Amino acid sequence: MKSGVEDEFLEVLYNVVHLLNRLGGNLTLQINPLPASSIRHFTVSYLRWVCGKSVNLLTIIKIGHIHIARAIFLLGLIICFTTANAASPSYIEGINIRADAGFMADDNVTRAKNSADKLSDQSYSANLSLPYIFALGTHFRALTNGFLGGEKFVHYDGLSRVSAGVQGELQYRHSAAFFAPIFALSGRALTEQYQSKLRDSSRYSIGVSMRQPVTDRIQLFGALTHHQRDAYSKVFTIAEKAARLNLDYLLSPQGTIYMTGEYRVGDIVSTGQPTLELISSADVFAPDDAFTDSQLTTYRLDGSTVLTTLGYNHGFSPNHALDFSWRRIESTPGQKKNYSTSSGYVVNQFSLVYLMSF
Amino acid sequence: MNKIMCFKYFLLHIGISLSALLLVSCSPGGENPTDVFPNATAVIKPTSGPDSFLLFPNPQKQADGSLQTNTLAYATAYYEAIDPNNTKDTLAKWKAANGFGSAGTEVNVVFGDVKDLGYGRRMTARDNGNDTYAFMVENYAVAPAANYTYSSLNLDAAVAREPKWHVGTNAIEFSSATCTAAEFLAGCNSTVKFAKFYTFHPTTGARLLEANLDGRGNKAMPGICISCHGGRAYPLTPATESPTSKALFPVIGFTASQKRGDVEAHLQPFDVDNFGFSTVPGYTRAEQETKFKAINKMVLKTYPIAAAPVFPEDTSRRISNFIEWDAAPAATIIKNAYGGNSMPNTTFSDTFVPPGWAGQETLYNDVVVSACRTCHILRGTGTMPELNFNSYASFAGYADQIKGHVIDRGNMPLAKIVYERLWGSSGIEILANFLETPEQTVRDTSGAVLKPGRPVAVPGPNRTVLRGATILSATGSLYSKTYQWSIVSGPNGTTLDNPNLAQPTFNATADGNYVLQLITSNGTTQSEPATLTLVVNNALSPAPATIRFSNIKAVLEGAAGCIGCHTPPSGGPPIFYTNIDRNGSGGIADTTDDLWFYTELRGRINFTDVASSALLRKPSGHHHGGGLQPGFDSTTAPGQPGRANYDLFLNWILNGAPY
Repeated sequence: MKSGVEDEFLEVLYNVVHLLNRLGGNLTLQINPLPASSIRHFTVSYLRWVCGKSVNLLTIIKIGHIHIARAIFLLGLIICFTTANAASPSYIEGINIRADAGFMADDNVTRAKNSADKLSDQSYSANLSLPYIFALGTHFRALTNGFLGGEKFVHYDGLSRVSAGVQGELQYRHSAAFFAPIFALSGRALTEQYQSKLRDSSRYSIGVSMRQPVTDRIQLFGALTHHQRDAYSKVFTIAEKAARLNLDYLLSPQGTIYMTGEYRVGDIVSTGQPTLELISSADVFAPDDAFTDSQLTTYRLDGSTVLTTLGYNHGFSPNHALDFSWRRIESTPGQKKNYSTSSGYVVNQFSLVYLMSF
Repeated sequence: MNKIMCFKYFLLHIGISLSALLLVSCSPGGENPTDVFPNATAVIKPTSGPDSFLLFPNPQKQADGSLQTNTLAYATAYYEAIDPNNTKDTLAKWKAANGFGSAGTEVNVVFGDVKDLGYGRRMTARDNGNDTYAFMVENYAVAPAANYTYSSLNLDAAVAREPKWHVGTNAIEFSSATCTAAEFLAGCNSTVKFAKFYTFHPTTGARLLEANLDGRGNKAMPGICISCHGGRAYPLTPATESPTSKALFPVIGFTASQKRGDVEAHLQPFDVDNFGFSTVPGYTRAEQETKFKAINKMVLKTYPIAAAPVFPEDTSRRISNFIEWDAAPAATIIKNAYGGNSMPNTTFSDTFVPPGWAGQETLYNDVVVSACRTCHILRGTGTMPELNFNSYASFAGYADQIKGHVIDRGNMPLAKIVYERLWGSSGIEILANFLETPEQTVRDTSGAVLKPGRPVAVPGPNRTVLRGATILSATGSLYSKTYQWSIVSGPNGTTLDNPNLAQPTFNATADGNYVLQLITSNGTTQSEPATLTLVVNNALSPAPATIRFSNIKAVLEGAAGCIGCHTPPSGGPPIFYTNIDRNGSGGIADTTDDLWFYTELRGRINFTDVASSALLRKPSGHHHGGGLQPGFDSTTAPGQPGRANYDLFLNWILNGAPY
């Protein structure tokens, strides 16, 4: 039995490794040699790969923000045990793999306020996710998702990254009526490795949401979320609270138009040449290693951000869809200096993503 | 679903959950060393190498190792001298006392202090219309970004008046002061105006005893200001029988005011060519040029003048006495920058080279103007002006001292930015070429200019000693942590105990000349060997350990002839050697007067660099109005009759100059 457990575990992890390698990132799996008889040793090797350093299980306990990790782990465990202890899982909605490949144009990757500091770039991305949905009785169900992906920027390679993470969501619906809202508690954790060392980070978020059909064509979704990011540089170590509202409008059986508005309060990051306003408002700053040609500095400031997204999703079949969206991001520093020349920075992102599942 | 499938999914789920734990546990770790936290309390980083900026070359080192001119006691005594009733202990009070906001002329300018302290500066200069002036400057330093160097951000902060980077407010008041009864008896003149220096907290406005001007920690007032304004660093007068029962700020002997607190410091010309300017309308150079001219005219008005004024810009300048600071070179700089006498030009342009520098323009422009002139132009006295470096001859006369300060000690140039600029420019090569002589090494074997921070062995001056135990001292060595003494030559039977200590014991059993060698090290870096010649003479009298102030005074007041000049009412040298009523008690030569005399004389000793003590250099003919005095010929060997007094003074000093 023990051997079987390890085999299952190893199989999952090797699949992850295989997928990562196929993405063509710079990651190299270093599991050598893998002790066949010990999950613990495998875990250590796995950690060494993920963290890029030698760690042991004791180290994990000491790493900051472990409380968040524990919370998510606990959530996972609850879901697991709930699943396992269910007298009989009523159904498994499906186990499939979702993949997407996309292109994005960003007119202000520096998140700069001054036009002289604004740099634009394009990126290509690919992501893979493995969602699982479990029914937990009549009113509850759980969603878990493991995902990994990569994004490659054309000009500013420091922004290129690979990421992997998991998320979980516990949903509640008091009835099966069409207009019955779905309430959810969700958590998400991911780790990112950038070409820019300053940006290497782990991200966490936790939130509550509600999904409400309005008509047979319109669906509303609202969420309150707390985001946190722990990065190598404190410039990119940020925390935000967000309120999001999304409206999906079903144009046709294949086409959905959607609009999203999101308001975030917390930390914002902006890159540019040093200015009195930025330095006076910043909590922390550092020379940016992603824009080394122009010797830019990146600043973390208190502020708020408004994100608006307008998109269209066209399904070609149940397993294939194309998504086009325009996102506008406007961030405003919390401290308004009397000598400020403008309020904040604006970013426009245009993206085209092909999605499929199999 | 069968149980096996269920169990597989359960395991898969456990695996995913465990992966979540692993992933989120992998925070990137470590700290980015380039992160800068501008809101954090500034940490004074320990420095290695030269770190004596804004301190006097003779900071009045005390027996306990403290530098008296850099103590709160010194600052306290200064403010008590210039503001005895504490009526200007806040910026608001100071401004009110100087009439800010009332009738009079006020000029506001904002500029970058590019070549001195690096600040963005917002200055208000005020002409009260009665020949008194007040200058107030808010200093802005975006230190986290600029690291106490000049940055246009500092200027931007001054333009915007960004309170976050307002690091302090300095003020100079040119006014007279009331003399106390005791001061009046001692010759104090309450009509003479002189410069008084203040610094205030940027937020509270409270007057400060110390300030951190260059990121290297707090240093005491007024030294951080007056060290580059021509001020003098004399020791405090003892509290014994002082009118306030507290230590008093010293009287600088040759000031016209004879008022405690008049440190013989002066206002610097505003070197507009070397300022940074904003492009923000209202703050460009062109828009502020006439304001700077007005300020430079105010500065000029504060300078004493040797003869009755002829030109309009000189009216109301006080006629100087013959001994005080010679303002002519500084006044000439200001005038020539505006086209000469009558100052016809609107725009400042400093291309003037003093006639005494003809033929040495490169050295003058690239070294003296860039690294020395700002401070030195305000130094020197009427009878001994060489320290103003207003001629090549004056500069050359200090070549050995310049080498010591710039190449060895690193306490010159006096300010961090100026120091770094000199060492980062071609000026240091030009200076090295000037300093280099067969007797004076300024380059290493590769030809690079020697830089301060390397260990320099200083075994102390050659001298005469008695037979028996003599404690040597290498504590004057620079940047050294370990010591190696050895006897190079001398009669047999001599021992050197603890030769690896800074203060070993030399035991001579026979008269004769002994040569010792000292090598010091700092880590793996070793100094060049330095030699010390000890002339052992068992007939030496008085014995070095028994020399007291009375022995020294006897020389000063005796055959050496010092009191020919060093006596009132000549108003001459900076110190009087005669027995006078120093505390204004009405009597003369009492014990208090003697103690005060001793303290003043001790202030002529530089315990950080004994050989450079004025008490040794002046009578031995270095920049001394009286030239070489009998018994002080330091060019002869120790023990020779021609330097008996020098040897006496030297042994007294090396014994701690006891009372």
